[in-house]
Amino acid sequence: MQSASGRELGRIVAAAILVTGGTAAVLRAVDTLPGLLLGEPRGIVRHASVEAAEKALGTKVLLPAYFPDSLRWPPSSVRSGRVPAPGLGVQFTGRDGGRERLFVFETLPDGSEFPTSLVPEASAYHAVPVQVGDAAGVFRSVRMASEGNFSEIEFRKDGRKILIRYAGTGDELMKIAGSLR
Amino acid sequence: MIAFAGGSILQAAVALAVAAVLARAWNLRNPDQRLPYHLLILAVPLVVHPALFLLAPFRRSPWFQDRLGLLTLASWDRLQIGGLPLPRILVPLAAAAGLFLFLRDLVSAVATRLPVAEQGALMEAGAAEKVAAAAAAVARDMRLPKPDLLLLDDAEPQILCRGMRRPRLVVSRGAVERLSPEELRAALTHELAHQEQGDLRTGWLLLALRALLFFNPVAQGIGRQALQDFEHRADDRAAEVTGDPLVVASALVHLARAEASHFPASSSSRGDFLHIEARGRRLLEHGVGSRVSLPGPRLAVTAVSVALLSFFIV
Repeated sequence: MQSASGRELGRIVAAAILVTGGTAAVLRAVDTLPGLLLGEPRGIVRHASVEAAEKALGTKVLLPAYFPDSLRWPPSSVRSGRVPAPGLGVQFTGRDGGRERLFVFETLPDGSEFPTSLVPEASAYHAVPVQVGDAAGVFRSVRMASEGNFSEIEFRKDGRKILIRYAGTGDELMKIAGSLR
Repeated sequence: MIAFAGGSILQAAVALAVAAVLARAWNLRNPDQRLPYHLLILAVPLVVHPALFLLAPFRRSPWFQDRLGLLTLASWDRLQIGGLPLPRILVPLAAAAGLFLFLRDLVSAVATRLPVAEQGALMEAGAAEKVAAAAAAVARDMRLPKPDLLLLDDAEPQILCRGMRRPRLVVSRGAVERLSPEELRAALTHELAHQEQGDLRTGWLLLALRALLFFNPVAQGIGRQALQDFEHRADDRAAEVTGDPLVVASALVHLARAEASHFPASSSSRGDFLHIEARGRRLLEHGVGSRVSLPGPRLAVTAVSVALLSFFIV
């Protein structure tokens, strides 16, 4: 009798575990729907404008004052994330449209990491230390799988970690980085 | 407010889904055993959700929502219609639906519990004695004290239990004329079963709890389900005492038809009639639902499952 009750109890617990696990999986899948519909990974929010992103994040966004004529204003997308730390990315296409040519990623003040899934993966094949104003930085040549070859520069400004990726010349990239405000 | 209400509705919906799947898996058909599950589902938006909201605010942090959250309003805030995040549109709509369901049932509950006019004519002595004798016999079979009766000389068919502090059976001439002696006995047994279980008090308590959750349509639906459990439980008890589910079903249907013909234009009467026909079919097709073993552990693991899932729904 006791072993029959024990087996029954085991079946009851197994059923509950199965249903709970299945429900958790379904809920998680359902929660990815907004990201699938918007084409954004979980945790990344797309904003209508730079001003909307500033309002959502509660801080001003640093943007380059030097803006090559080959690029189109306004940004093609403004995206932010919160985990592991808040930050945002502003992207610009070329003047003729098409693919993105300038990416500006920044954390909030005192931030040290970009939000997960905000910065597209890229493999660096060349890196040299550079100076951006008073800040030490790193200049790299990178290859993004879907976008091709870019130059990027990473440094800190006003307590923020900055990463700028540009599909133009290194000189222009340094001017863009130095004009950030 | 949107976050609180939205979380309450989502958690109640998930609790309902989990409890429904487990109840089906365990073949829980007895209303006496199903009722605690409905009350458990109500406990989620009433107790679990507010407790988590107050005691575990870290669940609302970006890190928790992005990394651990199973279903988060923050994910759905990204979808916008006309500049408004989707939850800000859907949650108020759901709350309006919840309020509508609650008010509809509140009006119905208050209307059926208005004081019965005692100045109305009472049933003539001969018929009254027969009814009193039948009620006393049923009470003896159920080992209950002799019930207080209010016997009305009214053509409208009524057999119901009224009064929280001083419960009594109200029986009308219209009901006595339409039911056979066996059906009358079955109907009296059903009503006394309500008294036996304290359903009147519990029903009002349930209504009070639903008032606290007026914005939650899932809670309102579950509240109605719980009231149906009371009726099914009383039907089963009547079938058990009379030994004849057919006569109980027959009494239900005859009374419902009589009331429907008495108020032919009333849509709620038509709705009630369909519901009572379903109750009769249930009695005939399934009989008194058998009880599953280990009800306590089943309910406990369901409660743990529901609480665990609720923790990750923000």
